[in-house]
Formats: sequence, C-alpha cells, structure tokens
Amino acid sequence: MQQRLRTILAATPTDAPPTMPTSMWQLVQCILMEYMQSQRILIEWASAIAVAAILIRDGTNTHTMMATWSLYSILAALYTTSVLADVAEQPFQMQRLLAIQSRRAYISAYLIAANVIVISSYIIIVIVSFLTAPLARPTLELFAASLPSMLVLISVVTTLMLMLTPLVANTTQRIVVLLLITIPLSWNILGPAIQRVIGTEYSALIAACATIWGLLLWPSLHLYTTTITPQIDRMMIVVIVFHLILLAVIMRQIIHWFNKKSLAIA
Amino acid sequence: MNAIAVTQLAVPFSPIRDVSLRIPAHSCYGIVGASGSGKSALLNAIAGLHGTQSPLIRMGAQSVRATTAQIGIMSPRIQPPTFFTVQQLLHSHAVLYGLSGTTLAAHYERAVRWCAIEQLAHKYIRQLSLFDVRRVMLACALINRPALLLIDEPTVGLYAHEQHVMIDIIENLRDREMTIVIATRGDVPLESLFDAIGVLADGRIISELDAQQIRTLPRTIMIRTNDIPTAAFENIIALDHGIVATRRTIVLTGSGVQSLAQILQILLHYNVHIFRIEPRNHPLNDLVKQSMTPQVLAQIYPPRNITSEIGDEITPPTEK
Repeated sequence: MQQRLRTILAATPTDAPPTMPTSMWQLVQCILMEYMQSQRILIEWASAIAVAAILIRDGTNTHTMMATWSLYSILAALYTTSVLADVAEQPFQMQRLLAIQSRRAYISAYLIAANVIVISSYIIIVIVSFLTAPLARPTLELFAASLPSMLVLISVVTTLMLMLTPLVANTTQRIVVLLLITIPLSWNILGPAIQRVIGTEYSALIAACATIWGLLLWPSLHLYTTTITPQIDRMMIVVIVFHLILLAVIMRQIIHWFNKKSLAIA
Repeated sequence: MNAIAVTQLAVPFSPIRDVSLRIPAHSCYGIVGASGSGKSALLNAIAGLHGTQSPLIRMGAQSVRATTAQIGIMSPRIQPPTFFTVQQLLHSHAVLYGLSGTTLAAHYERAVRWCAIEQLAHKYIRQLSLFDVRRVMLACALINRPALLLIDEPTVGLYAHEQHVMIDIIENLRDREMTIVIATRGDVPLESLFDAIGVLADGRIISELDAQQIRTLPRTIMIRTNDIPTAAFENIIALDHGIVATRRTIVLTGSGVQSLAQILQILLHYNVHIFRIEPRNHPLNDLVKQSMTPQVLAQIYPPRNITSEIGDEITPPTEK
C-alpha cells in the first residue's frame, strides 16, 4: 500500500502555477493542422488542381494563365477567409482565445493562417499549370517578377475579406465596407443608372464621382495588372508600398473592431 | 483575497445591466438564475470575452483581460472538433499555453486524472457520449491548471448518475486551490458545492447567500408510493416530527429530510413500491422561482454590501 501511494505521489505532477501563454505562431500551427485534419483544405487544393487541369490545360497564352492564377487566388482568399472566420467564432475556438496573449494575436493568427492556405493553393495551381500547359508557362524571370505583387494582392484581399465577416465587424460596419468596395467597382453601371433617375443636371457630380473612384481604384487595378504583366519599376514599388500601408491600416481597424466586439462562448 | 471583482458590469445585447460581485479566492461561487437571466453572458464577461467591458472585471489586482491564460471555461455549448482523439485535443490545447515535453505530459496526466477520463485518451471525440465530451471539455479547461474555473451548467442534459459523477469531479477540484464559478438554473443539487450563491435576476445580483444560509434553506422531499402497510406507516411517522405521511405519500420537511435513508429501508422491508421521489421546493429551484420576483427575494435574502476593495482579506470559506 505504501509503495502504491509512493508511486501515485511520484506520478502526480506538482501544482505548477499557471504558465504563460505562448505566441500566436502556435495557434497558427494549430489552425492549419485542424484545417488539414478536417479536410477543409481539400476544397482549395482540389479547386486549384481543377482550374489548372480544366481551364488552363493546353493554353498557349502566358498572360491568360497568369490572369487565371490571380483571379483564382482572389476567389480562394474569399472562400478561405469566410470559412476560417466561421471556425474562429466557434465556442471551442473562443476557449482557445483565453490561451492566447491577446485578441490581437488571436485575429492575426487566423489572418496568417488564411494567407498560408491561399498561398499554398496558389503554389498548387502554378505547379499543375506548368504541367498541363507547358507552352504557356512564363519564364522564371517573369514569374519571379510577379511574385511580390501576387503576395501583396493575396494579403490585401484576404484582410479585406476578413473585414466583411461577422467575426470582426457588426452588421453596419460590414455593410459600410461592402459599399466602399462595391460602389467604386460597379460605378460604370451605377453611375448611368443614378443619372437616369436624378436627371442630367447632376451629370457633373456623377462624372466627379467616377473620377474619384477611378483615382481610388487605380492603385489596386495597377497591382492586379502587375501580377499579370509584371514589370519591376518604380511605379510597381510605389503601388506595393501603397498597398502595404493600406494593409496596415486595415489590420489596425480589424484589431480595433475585434477588440470591441463581444464574443460569446456560451 | 478576492479572486474576482466585478464592478457595475453591463454587457450589451444581454440582460446584464448592473452586476457587482466579489468572489473570494479558492471558493466555489454559484450564479443562480432563471433561463435567460444572463448567467452565461456573465461568465463570458468574467472570461474577458466581452471586449471593452472587461476593465470592469478584475482578477486579483489585474484587469481580467491581462489574465485570461489563468482562466479555464467549460460550457455545454462548447463542442470540440470531432476528428481529434481526446489525447490530440488536450495536447493541442496544452501547446497553446506554451507547455511542452515533460511539463505538457504532467499537465495532461493531471487534467485527465482529475476528470477521470484516462480510459478515453485514444478515442475520437465523435465516439464519445455527451457525458464523456463534457468531461473532456472540463479537462481542456483544466489543462493549464487555471486559477479561475468558470463552469456553465455542468450537469444539464446528463443522467442522474452522471450528474453525481460530475458533481464529484467538481467537488474534487474545490480542494485544489482553484476558484470555481458555476452558473446554474438550479435543476440539480449543486448547492452542496457552493460557498456562496448570487441570485441573478433583472440584470443584476439581487441577493447573495452564504454557505450557512444555503444549508438552512427550507427543503421538502416527497415520496409517492403504493399503499403503505400500517406497521410501516407507524414506523415512519415515529422517526421524526418533520415527517408527514398519508397512506400513499410521505412528505419530509426540515429535520425529517435526514430520515430519508431510514424511510427507504422501511419501505423496502415492507415491499412498498416507490413511484417517485420529488425534490420539490429544492433550494436552488426555490431561488430560481423567487428570482422571478426579485423584490420578494431581496427582502428575504438582502444582498451583501460590497464595500471591500480588491485585495482585502476576506474570511476564507468554511471547510467542508
């Protein structure tokens, strides 16, 4: 009996004080492991293979191939972000939030995980495209030149999409962000439609709006163009720097909203 | 010393309007209230999940948001991923707390032992029963040896014998220098665990009961049977003056409750069939019902004045 008691006592760990939480990288690993183990990743990877094998197969135009990669990456970012935002809101994940140093680390971990997943899909579509459409494959220099723009594009789109999810923003905030994105993009249709309703006397205002939206959208459209027809020059660097600043601003806003948001574990 | 101090907390989009409470360290505090009274929202807030409200909640001398790593939370609504085994789940959770190697193994072993789930280690979550999942989630909450454990409705949806095991597990945790806060609707006899109870109604704690008051709450047990033979009937009513019996019903009140075991023995001896035993007017049920009319309850059990500052020495809870 004494021996058994001693064995139990020896096996009993000391009541260590609560340990400090670890960095968000552990959470990133955790999220990615779960994403793979739950086989959610198959959607992104399978769609990348499908796009490369069906849409790009036997293509001969390099720019068409690179445009498909860019569009696919944007769609993958959209899908992955919505899934991850949904996962991040589950009560079980909220329990994990307690383990992480801060809310900033928590939301950043999900953002990094989303980027990693989209980039992995991008890598797959590139590799499979190289195999299915050898004639359209870009030169190594061209491909390398498109990478910085591509990575920035993926990051910006992913972050912006996260802003649209209920994980960080309330309904009003999401609608405002959605309008900020969609109105400039669809002004070619909206502008004439509004003009028909309000009359021609406001045509100057409509034109002014078109100019403003054009100015606002130009850097992003240029970034998208540089992923298809990359050309490393001063303008490309300016556009990339502009988007990195934009990324920082969006991140700051996301963290601010997420900090204020009430989360329910039960 | 206070483990948790909540000051005039209001949680948007929840019934919580003005909650102030102090929970002494290493005690077990019950938040009792009717369904929809905001118990879960209050637990969430204490866990620091309510953004800007969290500075109103302090753990020791710090804001609760700075100490979330010392908090464990278990709720019936937390569903773990089904594709993990119990061991994988607990390990992945422990890694987030910076545990690794032998420390991780020690924490894992302890959490598993405390929740009595050693035999479930290699089972997938999808293979587990509700009770097993509940214990696994409790182990998750305990993996980091939290200083504060928040438990929401630990026994809801469980069978009677499972409820008793769950209560035993929590009772065992009480002796581990851990502050435990349990939210309950008062469906089960959890009151044996509590050092104090706060009754939540109307968006605030309308009354508080200490351990002594909890024990002296009036209670009644009713046993419904088929016809009781005269000899058994006379034996039963002779046991205690708190026993009122008819030919088919026995009501135990006050000190009569302590004679329950003897009465059951007598009934079994005389082959009397027991239809059911009703813990009517169960103390916690009483509180929940009365919390619907907060003014009445506040008159019976006035809230304790919260005057002590955070960190003040408070008489430790009575040993059980």
